[in-house]
Amino acid sequence: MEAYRKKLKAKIGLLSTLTILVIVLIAWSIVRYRNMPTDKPAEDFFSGFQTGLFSGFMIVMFWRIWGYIRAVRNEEKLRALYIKAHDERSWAIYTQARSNAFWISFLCLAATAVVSGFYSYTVFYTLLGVVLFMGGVAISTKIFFSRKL
Amino acid sequence: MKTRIQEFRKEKKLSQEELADAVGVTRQTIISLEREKYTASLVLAYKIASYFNVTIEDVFDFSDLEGM
Repeated sequence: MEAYRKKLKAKIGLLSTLTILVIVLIAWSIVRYRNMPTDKPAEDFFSGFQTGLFSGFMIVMFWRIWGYIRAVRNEEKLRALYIKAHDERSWAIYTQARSNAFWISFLCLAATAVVSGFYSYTVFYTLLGVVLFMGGVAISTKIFFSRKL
Repeated sequence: MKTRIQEFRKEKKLSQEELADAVGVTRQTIISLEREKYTASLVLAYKIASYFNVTIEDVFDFSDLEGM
């Protein structure tokens, strides 16, 4: 359990650093938004999207850091978190869901690429690039784990 | 896979939560094992059998695998 406590402390450090970075990005996004000309609605939307996304990240990271700090300070909570994080059924569900989600996304993107070819070559080539990249990653990871396991 | 986890657990008057905590899994995992929806890994099967002080074959029924 001590090793897990050390791991959590390292995670707290890493997440804290990331949170500071996200706060800087939010501040930069707000400053940039204030100095933006009002006649560019697309950039206005993008800036709002960025701020919203970073704020969401920040809330999730604060929530995680708070949970880890409570676990590090309390033996019972640490054990509960350890069990939750290492439960083999949860891992099985996660692995199965991730694998299925990948293949469903891959097939949907491939189908969308085919349909988009009738309307826009730009969209077609972009989606084709994404599909090829995803396929490449899938094959590479399969080869890697086939050799590792 | 058929198991006798519930039987052993009730014999020892243990709750699902207590057994889960003893073998280091969540209560949902014990529920799934008892309902035969999930098959335990070798490590978890060993932990459960050791906890009840019996063999793995006493807890888990491998008869379905015979002849495969």
